[in-house]
Amino acid sequence: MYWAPGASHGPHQVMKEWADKYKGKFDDGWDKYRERVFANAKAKGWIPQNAQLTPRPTSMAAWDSIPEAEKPFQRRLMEVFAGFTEHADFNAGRVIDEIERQGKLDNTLIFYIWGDNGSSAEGLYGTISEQLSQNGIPTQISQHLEALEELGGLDALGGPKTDNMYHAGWAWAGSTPYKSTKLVGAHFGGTRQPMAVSWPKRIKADPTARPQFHHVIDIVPTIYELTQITPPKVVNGFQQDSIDGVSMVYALGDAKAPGTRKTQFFDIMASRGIYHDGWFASAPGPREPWVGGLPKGIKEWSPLTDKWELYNLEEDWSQANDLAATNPTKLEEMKLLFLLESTKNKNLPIGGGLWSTAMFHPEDAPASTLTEWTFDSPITRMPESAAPKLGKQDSLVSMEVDVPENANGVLYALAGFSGGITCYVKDGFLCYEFNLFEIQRTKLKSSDKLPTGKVKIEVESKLVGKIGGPMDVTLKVNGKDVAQGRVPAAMSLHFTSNATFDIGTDLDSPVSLDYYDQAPFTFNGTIGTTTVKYLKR
Amino acid sequence: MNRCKLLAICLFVNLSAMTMAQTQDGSVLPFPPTPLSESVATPRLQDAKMKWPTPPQRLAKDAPNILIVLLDDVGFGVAETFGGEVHTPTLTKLANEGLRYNAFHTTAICSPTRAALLTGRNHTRVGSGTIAERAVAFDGYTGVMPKEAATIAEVLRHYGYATSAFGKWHNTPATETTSIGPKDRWPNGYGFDYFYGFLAGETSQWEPRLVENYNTVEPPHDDPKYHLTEDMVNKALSWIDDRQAYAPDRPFLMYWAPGAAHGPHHIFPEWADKYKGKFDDGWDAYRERVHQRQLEMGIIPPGTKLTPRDETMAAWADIPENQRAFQRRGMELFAGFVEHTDVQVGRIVDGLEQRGLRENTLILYIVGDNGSSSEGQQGSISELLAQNNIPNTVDQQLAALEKLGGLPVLGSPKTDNMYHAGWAWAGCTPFKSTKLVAAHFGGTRNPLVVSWPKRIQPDATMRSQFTHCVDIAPTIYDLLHITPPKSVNGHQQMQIDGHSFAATFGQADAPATNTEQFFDNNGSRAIYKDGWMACAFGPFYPWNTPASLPRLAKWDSATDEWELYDLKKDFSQSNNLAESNPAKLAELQKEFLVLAEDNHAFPIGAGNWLRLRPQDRVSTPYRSWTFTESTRRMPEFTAPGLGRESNVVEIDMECGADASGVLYALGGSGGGLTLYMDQGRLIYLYNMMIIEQYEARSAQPLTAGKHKIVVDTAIGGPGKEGTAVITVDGKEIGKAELKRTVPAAFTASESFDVGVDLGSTVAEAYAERRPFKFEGSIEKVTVALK
Repeated sequence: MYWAPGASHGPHQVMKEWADKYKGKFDDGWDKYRERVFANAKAKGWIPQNAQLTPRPTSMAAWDSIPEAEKPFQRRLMEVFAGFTEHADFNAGRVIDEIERQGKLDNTLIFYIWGDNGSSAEGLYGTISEQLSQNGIPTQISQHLEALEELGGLDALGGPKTDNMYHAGWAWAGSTPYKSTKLVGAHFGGTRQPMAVSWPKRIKADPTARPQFHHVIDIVPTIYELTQITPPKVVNGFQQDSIDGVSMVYALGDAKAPGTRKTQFFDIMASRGIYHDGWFASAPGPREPWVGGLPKGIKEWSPLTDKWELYNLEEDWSQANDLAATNPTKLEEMKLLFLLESTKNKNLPIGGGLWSTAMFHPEDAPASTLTEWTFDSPITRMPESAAPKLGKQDSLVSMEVDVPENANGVLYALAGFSGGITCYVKDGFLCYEFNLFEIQRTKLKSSDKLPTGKVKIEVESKLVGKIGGPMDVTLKVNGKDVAQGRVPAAMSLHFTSNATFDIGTDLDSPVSLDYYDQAPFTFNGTIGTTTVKYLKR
Repeated sequence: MNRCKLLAICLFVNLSAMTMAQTQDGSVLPFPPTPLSESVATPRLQDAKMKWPTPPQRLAKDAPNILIVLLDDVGFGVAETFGGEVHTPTLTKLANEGLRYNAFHTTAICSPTRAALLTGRNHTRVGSGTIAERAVAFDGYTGVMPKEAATIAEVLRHYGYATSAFGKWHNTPATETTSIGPKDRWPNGYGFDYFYGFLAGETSQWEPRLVENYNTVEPPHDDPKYHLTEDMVNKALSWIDDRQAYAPDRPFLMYWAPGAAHGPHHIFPEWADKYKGKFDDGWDAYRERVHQRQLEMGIIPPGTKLTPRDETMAAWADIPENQRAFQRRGMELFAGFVEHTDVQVGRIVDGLEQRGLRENTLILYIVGDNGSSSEGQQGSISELLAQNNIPNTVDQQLAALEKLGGLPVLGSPKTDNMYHAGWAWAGCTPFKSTKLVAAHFGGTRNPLVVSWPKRIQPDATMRSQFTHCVDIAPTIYDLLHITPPKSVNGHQQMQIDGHSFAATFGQADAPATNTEQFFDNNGSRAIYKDGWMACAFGPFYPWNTPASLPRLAKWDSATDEWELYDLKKDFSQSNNLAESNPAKLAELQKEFLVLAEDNHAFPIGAGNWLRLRPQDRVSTPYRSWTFTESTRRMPEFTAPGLGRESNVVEIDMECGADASGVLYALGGSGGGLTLYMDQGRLIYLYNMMIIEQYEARSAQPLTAGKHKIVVDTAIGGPGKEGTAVITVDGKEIGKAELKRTVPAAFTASESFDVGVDLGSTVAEAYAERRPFKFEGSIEKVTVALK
């Protein structure tokens, strides 16, 4: 069984009582958190006695610099994350309890991997709608606080009305004692995760930490060795690639066994590292995940002139002491090794993961190749990634609708409460809302009620200038304009990662507050064919 | 760093990528990945080039959508389009806009026809010599469709088709149908992107045991208008809409195979009522009328004889007057069921028209995977009586039916009704025999209509080339210019047995391509060659199971009696030339053995193996089980045989005062057993195929709190009498005398459920409260076979 919860990725959503368990526990901020946790980890022997606590990067805010008025918001976000994480661990426990109840725990091998990467700094300065930063939309915390007030204040955080995520400072604190966070392949704040292994029948419980250098690719060979499976050469007709991982079985019974892994390369969007025989060379790359907007000088950035760091892990657990200047020969050797490993692992070009981002070629981002859609009957649950990008492109939505007396309900809705577009009928009036990540809602409403019977409804959206800029929206009924308005800023990537486009209803979280309590607010008339097409610019 | 060194590294990468084997002709599927030949991966992004390759177009731009409709258990003489007496407006419309075929053949039985149709190989070659539940360990009869015979769905999917299957599947090994699988032999494992239907050979139309892809799903429990065939249309149209929304550039293949009109014949009374009085004069008269009409309409060649009734089958005149109303209603229900199905096919065709897709959709509408089914024997309110070989009389059935509400109850969820075999034989007019007989066209010849407005000119001239369900796949490959692959997903492919009949689309008298065809079902067998047919009826009378068993025990395929027909002059196998042309017969008999061996059909009659040796039945390897309240929809075939062998069931439960609901139930309304509570009283019921009910009930209600309930069942042997003793907390509270028991299975597709009775209800007592979920909690249920 592979049990991989969405927790604790953003949005951080958990019942209030779980977050409340942590009330007041983080009041003194992330810098103090790191100090406490560092001392704890050392006292418990999880890190060596000579390990050092790494300092905060200058580009990241100190807790002391956070304005007093914003501190309750920032604290609550960490409380929600902590509650969310405890809740996930509790539920992992429920699975394990059931295995135990069935008497099968003794012969169950459990790998509990604490995170697929370090804590995430993608919430930047703290947010009520995490996709804001992915869309590169700059905001002030005060805007978040204002919008949050309307949704019920701090208590709304973690609930269905927000897609909240904490300040990057908390993510960095969560990666104590290391440098950096998720998305940094150069530092252990991005790449070093706790793991617990349990198998009562074959593994004797042992409190001694296993410090051997290993990597997530070593899980598979470990399982093969334990189950005595020879990795296949051919599967379903496909010649198999060589396995890069090595088994960790040798260390299960021997905490002090010398590590067997010699080399491991790391690279995530050009933040990279190479481990070899106790040495680690790192190039943090062109961006810091906790800083919003485009990195300075990104267009000129080259992996060949990047600044590298060098660490001797044998005596420096946390990458605190950069030896690049004192041991340039070793560094050159490691850099060459990195390039060889990169080549071998199809990792070129360095930073390939940045290619289709706003930094280089957003036009190459994966998208449906369609530019026109015909929905003969109302479709539901069309993933946003496959759906028309009504919030980004010039488009015309055209619908044949049979409008009843006292018409109510959603005609179509894209994405969800944290951001999206909806066109709906409320008490006979045609309405439209562009919900820009909760911080800006543009609403249109027809001046007259819709006629009853067969009606043609059109929604035309046209960008005034560039993608992400203002967008003019016109609602038409039987060919006549009935409402017009300008969305001050449209979106440029997507509203959500996992919400959907629905016709005749608004499934998953509702886009608009206007029908929040009546969601999914299914239309009470009949919808015939709906067409959507992108308009030529 | 030295630039040259970098360049060398990059070159090394590109070269290694190019050593991959490249086959673009489709002989090896999947096709190789399209190389990223225009991208250049240098270390620096600024020097790199990125370009996605254009995905290769594997199909012609105007490749058609393909819809295969396959009805179940409907013979040659049922649809009015082919001279029968059941209104089939959709079949007629498609025939008028396309082509009719009167010499299309099946294998005489469900799973084998489906395996042959999907793979283009003879049924035994693909391990499907019999139905999945009767699998035995001979290559031709394992019930496993080998991946060495890729289905059309699997092949077309690689070429870019979106693929889906709806309705009856019946090609998954019966022991692999639980929610834990393994699932690589479920429909999705055979190339279908989407599946909605049932894995078994039949299901209730009202309360089907459904699967959507890899998961069981529940039909609505409170919708009196629900019928599976209609649900299948809704799901099919939604799937077409999804394809339209997400991938309108990809053509689709849809395999739409309703459970209709297999038993149980479940249909709304208003559909059956359309036929009220139409069959009052019985099956013999039906055959005469239909034969005459078939001649007049040109469905069968002039001079085609009507074959006589077999002496082992009852004449209508022999049916006692008091049973006739029952027998007539059986046929009215079947007729209504078939018409309803055809109208549902019409909703799909209309849906294609409304979406502008009909013009370029090739529709193959196959009326029946075999002939009409005589498995209802003398007419039945619980069709598995016959499969279990339980002796009973029609009067016994009528008495049981009266208790349920009489004739109006037939067709409803309360019965698993099936008509008299005489009606099935009538449905196969003008041929001899019925479903399960591969020797005669009553079992194997089914109407086929083909329509494709864009490419096929409507033509009323009958297509009479000898064709078979193995020819469908090669015809589709031919039309799409696909070379059948030699290897699919690493599996070397078996030869294809079928032949394309695409030439008949444009030419009524195109030469036949299938000149030699082998048939075999349970030892009923035939060989067709160049207009001749030699056949042996075999040991089994489908319309009389009890009488077949002694015959089967003595049967020797080497000394079987053979028949010989010259089909060029004798469309209906009415004139046996075995005596007048022994040389031809001997030649064909010899040839049959060659084909049978080549097609893994040995030993001849292996499909009957379990009738003589029921202990060899494939079954789960388990002897004991631990269930919880999440045990739902465990297929009866895989569940403990609580009603057929001695066992002990122990339940740890907790209830409030006056609790109601099901503790566990196996089977359904047609037969099964259930332990339930009703206002505190504990009740055990053994529903012996409706006709007998054995019950034990506690005199006092159970007190609120925790209890341990034990049901100890002792059965003397297969079908023998037994007892079920119920104890609560160690104290006996009741005992049911099981006067006789069901030796094989209560149902074909009902389930074992804990805490609820899903599907149709075992006990009529709680039918109105279904699924009658238990109000208390069940910690666990353990079952041990003794």
